[in-house]
Amino acid sequence: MANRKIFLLILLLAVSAAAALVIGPVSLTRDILWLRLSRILLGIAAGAGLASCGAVFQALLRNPLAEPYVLGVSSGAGLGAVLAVALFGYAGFLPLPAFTGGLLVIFLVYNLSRVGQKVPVQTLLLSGVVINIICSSLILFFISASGNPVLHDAMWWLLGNLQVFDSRLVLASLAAAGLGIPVFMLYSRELDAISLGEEEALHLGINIENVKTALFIIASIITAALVSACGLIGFVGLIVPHMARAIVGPKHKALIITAAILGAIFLVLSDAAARTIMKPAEIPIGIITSLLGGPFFLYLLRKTRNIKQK
Amino acid sequence: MKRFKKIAGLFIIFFLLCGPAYCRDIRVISLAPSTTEILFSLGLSENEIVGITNYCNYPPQTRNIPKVGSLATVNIEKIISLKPDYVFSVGSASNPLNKSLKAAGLDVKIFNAERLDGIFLAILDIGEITGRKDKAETLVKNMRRELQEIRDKTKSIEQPKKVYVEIWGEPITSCGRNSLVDEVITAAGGINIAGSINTLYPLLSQEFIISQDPDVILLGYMSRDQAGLKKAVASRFGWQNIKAVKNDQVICDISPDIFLRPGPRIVDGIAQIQKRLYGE
Amino acid sequence: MSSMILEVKNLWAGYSNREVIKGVDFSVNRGEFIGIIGPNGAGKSTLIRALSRVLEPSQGSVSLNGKDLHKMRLSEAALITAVVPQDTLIVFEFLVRDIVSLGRIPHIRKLGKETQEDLDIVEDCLGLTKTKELADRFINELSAGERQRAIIAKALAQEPQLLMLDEPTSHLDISHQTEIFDLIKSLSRDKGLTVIAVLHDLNLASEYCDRLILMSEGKIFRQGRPEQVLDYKTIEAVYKTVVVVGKNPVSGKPSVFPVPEGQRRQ
Repeated sequence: MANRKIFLLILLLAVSAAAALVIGPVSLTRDILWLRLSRILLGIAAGAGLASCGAVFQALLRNPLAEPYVLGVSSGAGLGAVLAVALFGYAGFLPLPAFTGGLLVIFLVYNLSRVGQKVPVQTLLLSGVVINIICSSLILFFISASGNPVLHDAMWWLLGNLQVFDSRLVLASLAAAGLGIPVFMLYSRELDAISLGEEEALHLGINIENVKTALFIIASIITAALVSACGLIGFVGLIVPHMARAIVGPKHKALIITAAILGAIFLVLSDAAARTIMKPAEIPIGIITSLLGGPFFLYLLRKTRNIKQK
Repeated sequence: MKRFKKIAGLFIIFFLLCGPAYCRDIRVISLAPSTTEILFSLGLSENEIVGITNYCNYPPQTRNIPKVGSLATVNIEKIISLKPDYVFSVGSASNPLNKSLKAAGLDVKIFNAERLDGIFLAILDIGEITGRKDKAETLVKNMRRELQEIRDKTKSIEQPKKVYVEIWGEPITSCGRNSLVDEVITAAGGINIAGSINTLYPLLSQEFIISQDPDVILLGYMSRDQAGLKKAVASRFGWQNIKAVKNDQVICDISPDIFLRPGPRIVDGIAQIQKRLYGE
Repeated sequence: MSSMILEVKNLWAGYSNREVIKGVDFSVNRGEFIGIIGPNGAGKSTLIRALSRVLEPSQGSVSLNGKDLHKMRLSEAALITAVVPQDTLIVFEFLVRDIVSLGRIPHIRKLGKETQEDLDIVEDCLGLTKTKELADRFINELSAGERQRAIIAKALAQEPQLLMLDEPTSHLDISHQTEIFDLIKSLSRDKGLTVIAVLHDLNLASEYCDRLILMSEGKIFRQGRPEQVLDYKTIEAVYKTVVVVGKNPVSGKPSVFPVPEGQRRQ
């Protein structure tokens, strides 16, 4: 049953990608073919990556409101970029210091939360939230205090953007999502057990500290990579996993791949809308994901509620 | 005789008390680079312009004038300590900065010149306030005349050049209908490819720019070193086939201050642009 | 297989700055139904946590089937013991059947799939706990008693030799309490399942358990058959309250009656 749904979703993804290829402010010509293709590929990578990481974080933190940015990786990446420019006058490839910043925050949050060999989930969440706030404030401070106009670029990039067109970044994003998602799927049962509770998972024989650490690090690295390439695209990591749960249920064997496909469809279509709704102007994609996603999710929620009541 | 002495005495006392107010220089503070340029072009001296922003960089005399911050980081105490008669500001009357300035008891005059006509009106109003009415009228008359001459030059061009103006790169931002830059391009005899878009500063889609194939790309990044920009813009993926890139018509050496600022040099800016578009 | 399934020697365990369990010794034979009783703070839950690998002991040893529990791999221990916690907060909307089938995790190879046998065992456990009709409902929609039965079904799906329960019926009314205990007792009697249950209700413990371990202040105060442990002097010493111990008219097991203050002069 779930398999059939997943197959249909894959078809839907193919259709969406094809549609996105021809939807835009101008008709498709050879000149802009790569521009569109690049956006679609990045949309698939970022959508699938963020949605599946969101599902993993929600299970790890046992919190339906968790999402990939909650542990501070994204603001760490932003701070990395901002510091490189503000303090070192860096004017090169911004994703590099961004990714470094993200990795440093992962390291920091993990070590702050560690108690001996264990990483209690509540502490992880709290440390992440605090680091998030600190990094965000630092970012704002440097942007407002510095006269360096390159910093204004950094702020824009924080708003999320699939118009990257750099094949290295597109490939890196595809690699991150493409390698991470199968790994998450391998941990499906562990994720099911952990989402019941850490003690419950322990009783089922799962080495939760190893599993938690591995999943946290992998999901955070993927998030850092995607944020370094595309900036912050909100909503996908939080709501798409819930959409996926409404369709195939909470068992992670089906959930991870469903969330990934849904996330890809969602971003590809949002991006197509972002360049077409107010053509030829571009709307920042984060605005589209929130505006489109919110109502759609509410609709899905009501529909599944009604089914349950019957 | 006695009455005459009384009246004379009153006059003398009156002048002694109020003379300093009448005879001393006016003191103004400008919170916008364009306003600063207008003040200098009306002949106000460094004694009269007592405070300007960090970004007010023209004319060279601005170097010696105390700075009160920039629009985002204005130091109200500094402004008050300079005891201005007027503060020339921008933005809406109800924005936090202007409200604080008014609440501090300052006389705030707001000028938001958004189009060429707005610039002329601002110059006349500022001239009136600072007692340079004649100078202002002459200046505006000359500017209007020059502008007409420029417009006449390219009035009958059959194939006006398509121009893409980029005022920021992350995100890619251009200037749409009713913006000052759109008027500038049109006055110079070019066609702004974003001119039909109803947003003042639209975030243009790269696909659109490429498909429009502009003849000239004009870079106008405010307060940014433009030298490296030309290379960055021209090497964007997919842009190599644009006419402006192929023919090396990416202009980065016209100072954006001249054509982006709604100030007295705007007509000069239009002339420079026209020269680059059509030569002569 | 020896008849002793669990042996605890000089166990000390606690939390960051204080020991809660201070030197506990006992052993459990296969098929026994052990009740751990005692006042709040005596260390009952801590004991279960130390026995289920949630807490690492600071001293002492626990051996399961003759092997040191804390040197075993977690997955190996999960094939032998299953735990039913006091309550579970399930954040996502799992179906009851999905929850129960999680109990098969220790038996499924890392990269393997569920087999028909796994599915059959899940069905059996649903039947045993009378939760078959609930199998396709969401766990969060069940009543407290139904939920507890589902969680027990999950524990049974692990096919454990030793089942540990921490206050399994503290939120249930008397009909559900007897229902759960009848189930556990029958499993213990008919299938040879060894059960260790932390209980707060002395009378239920008396009715159902083969042996009681009475804890007080981190140590075992007394252990033995209900008749040996539940006498009024012992209970008063440990619970610091006045009681009268009588006999259940039907089963003959000791029953504990509280004595309100007004009646105490007798």
